[in-house]
Amino acid sequence: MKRKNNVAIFNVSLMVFSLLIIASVGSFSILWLQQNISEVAQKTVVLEKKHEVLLRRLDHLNQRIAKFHQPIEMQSRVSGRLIPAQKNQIVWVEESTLETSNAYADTQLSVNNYLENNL
Amino acid sequence: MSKAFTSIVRIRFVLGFIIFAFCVLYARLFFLHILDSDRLQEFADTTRKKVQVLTSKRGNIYDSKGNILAGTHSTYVIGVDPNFLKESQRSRWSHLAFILQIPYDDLVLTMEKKVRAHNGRMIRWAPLAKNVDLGVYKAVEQLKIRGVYGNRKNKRIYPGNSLASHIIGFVNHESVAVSGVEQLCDYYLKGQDGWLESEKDGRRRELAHARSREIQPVNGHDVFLTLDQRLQSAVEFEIQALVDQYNPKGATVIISRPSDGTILALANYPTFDLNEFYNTKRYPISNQRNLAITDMLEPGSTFKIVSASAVLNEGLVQTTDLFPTGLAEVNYKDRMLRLPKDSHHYDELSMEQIVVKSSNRGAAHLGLILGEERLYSYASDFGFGRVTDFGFSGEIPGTLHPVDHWDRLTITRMPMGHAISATPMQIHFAMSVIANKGILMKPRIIDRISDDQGFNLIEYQSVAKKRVIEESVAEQMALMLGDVVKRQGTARRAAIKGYSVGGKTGTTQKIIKGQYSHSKHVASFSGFLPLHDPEVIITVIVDEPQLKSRVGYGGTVAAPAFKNIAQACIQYLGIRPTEYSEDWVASSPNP
Repeated sequence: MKRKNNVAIFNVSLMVFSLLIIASVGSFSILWLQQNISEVAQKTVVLEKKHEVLLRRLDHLNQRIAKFHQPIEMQSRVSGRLIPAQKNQIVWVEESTLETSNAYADTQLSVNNYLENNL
Repeated sequence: MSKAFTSIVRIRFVLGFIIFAFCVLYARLFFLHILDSDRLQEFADTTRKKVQVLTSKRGNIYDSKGNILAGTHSTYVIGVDPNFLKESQRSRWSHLAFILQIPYDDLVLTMEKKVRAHNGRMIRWAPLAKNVDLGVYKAVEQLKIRGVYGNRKNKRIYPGNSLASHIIGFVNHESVAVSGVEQLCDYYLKGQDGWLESEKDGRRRELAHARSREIQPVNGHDVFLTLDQRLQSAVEFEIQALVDQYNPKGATVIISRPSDGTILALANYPTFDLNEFYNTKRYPISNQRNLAITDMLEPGSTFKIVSASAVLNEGLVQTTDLFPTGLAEVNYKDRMLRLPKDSHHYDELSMEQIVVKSSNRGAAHLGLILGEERLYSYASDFGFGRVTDFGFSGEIPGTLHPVDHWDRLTITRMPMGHAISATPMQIHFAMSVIANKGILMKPRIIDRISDDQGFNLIEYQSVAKKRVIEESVAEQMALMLGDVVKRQGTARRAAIKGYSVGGKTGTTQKIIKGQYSHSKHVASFSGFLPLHDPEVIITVIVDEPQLKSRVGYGGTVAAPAFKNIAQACIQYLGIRPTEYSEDWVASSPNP
């Protein structure tokens, strides 16, 4: 009878002890998980902010590029140094001769003749 | 333990006191948790909870080549908490003033004013500079002055300033799209704000792990227009030249591609800077009107293409048929009608010459042959009296009275472009009927809408509204309009060497106090090139050009502007010449 009691007490103690172990390990695990979650969340926030700042910089750069690409802006940068092609600098090739594909070569030939005769 | 030293009364008193204390405690807890719980819960939530709105980014507006016409970027308001400043950092104030480009004395005044004069309360925020960009903000941050910080806000930026202002429109300070594409495509551009619900600690820092709900913002879509920034700039440059030369009251230029109704450029004068839409002293509110669709004028001689096309399309007249333009009166339906005058006297003109010489009397004859119903019907088919479906708010349909509202002279006046009012856009698209082989197109200004990843969501196709005249008639008309630009026509100044150009001038007397003015005119020219396969159609309308002792004719004011713009189009779009001359064409290969 006494032995049975001892076994019962042992079993109950073991169960209580196991419960305590599981509860404490579980609690610490949850705490550890929460800490990790918190850390990852903090890092995510930092990355989110960096991402946001980068997007803002990108917008800023896009805006500056757009501003510098304005025709008026580009024109002012080359003013006096770049002029449109003069009429005598443009060589038109008749559309009817385009199919034969040698009109350009002919043009080059005439340019070479011109250079030979004038230089 | 002996009971001799215990006092029952004292024990009961102590017990009673303890029970009473607990009762008070429980009562307080009952009050806090049950009776006043809602209020306290709300208070706790507002203290702890953090709801952050994640603002979406408004989509960009691009031209057809991908140049940004409207974008959003962050600007900063730099401010100071004067009560948080460190005296030891005073030496950095001058650097701050230099970076923010504000007078040092003003800065010191703001920094040293620590309390409000009217109520004596501490100043915790005083702005130093607004609309500061990212670069300047970074420089301010690097100074590390305690108490100086910036608040960020999104701002709509228009890099071209006044470029295509009437087309792009603007978003006001309350983030409401007011006009132009900004308003037309607001649904696609604005996006949707997101929000974030989390908790914060005692120092107001977010406890990121406690985020309970997070809805990501959806950025607005990008809108691609059919406009071309380069052509738009060339048009605005030419308008400025017109303004410098003639100081007109207004001007409108439209360029489109006739085959699909695509608008390549549209500009008006007066205009305004989109970044300073609020500056009504510099840019009066009336400058924001898109004259191309909101203002109407009598089309004048440009309307003659309608009456001429109509008689040809009905088979009533041949181009060589002669008309007695010397007669001042004609009999029409048993009544004598007085015909309008011409600037030059012609005894008789052929139908073709009526167009080329822009004869008012000849046009009246064409109207009489056509009759009221058919004239009205063709005017309506050419797009007069109805909106062009351009899509922008404020577009007006112009005036085309139904036949039963006409007086007895209307049949002789409307064929020459009087007794009818139209917007520049209507005049432009009426001319595009001729250039587009007789088909009226719907104006197309939005090319496509794409998401922020670049995928096209919606593509806007060109829409043909109606065949107005036969293709052969349109070709006949184009040939006649080609003669208008030749030596014998009214628009000699629109001719371009090597290119066949067609068009029609218009010089409209303005109606002042119910009478046609002899000093105030609207000069116009609408033309296209190349004649046989038009790639661009250009309309130039100049309202009240100021000329010394001369009338501002369409041929003298608008036609040269057309020529300059057309030359820019030729150069930029690479339009090939149609008439080669020996001196500037490469030699043909020998057979």
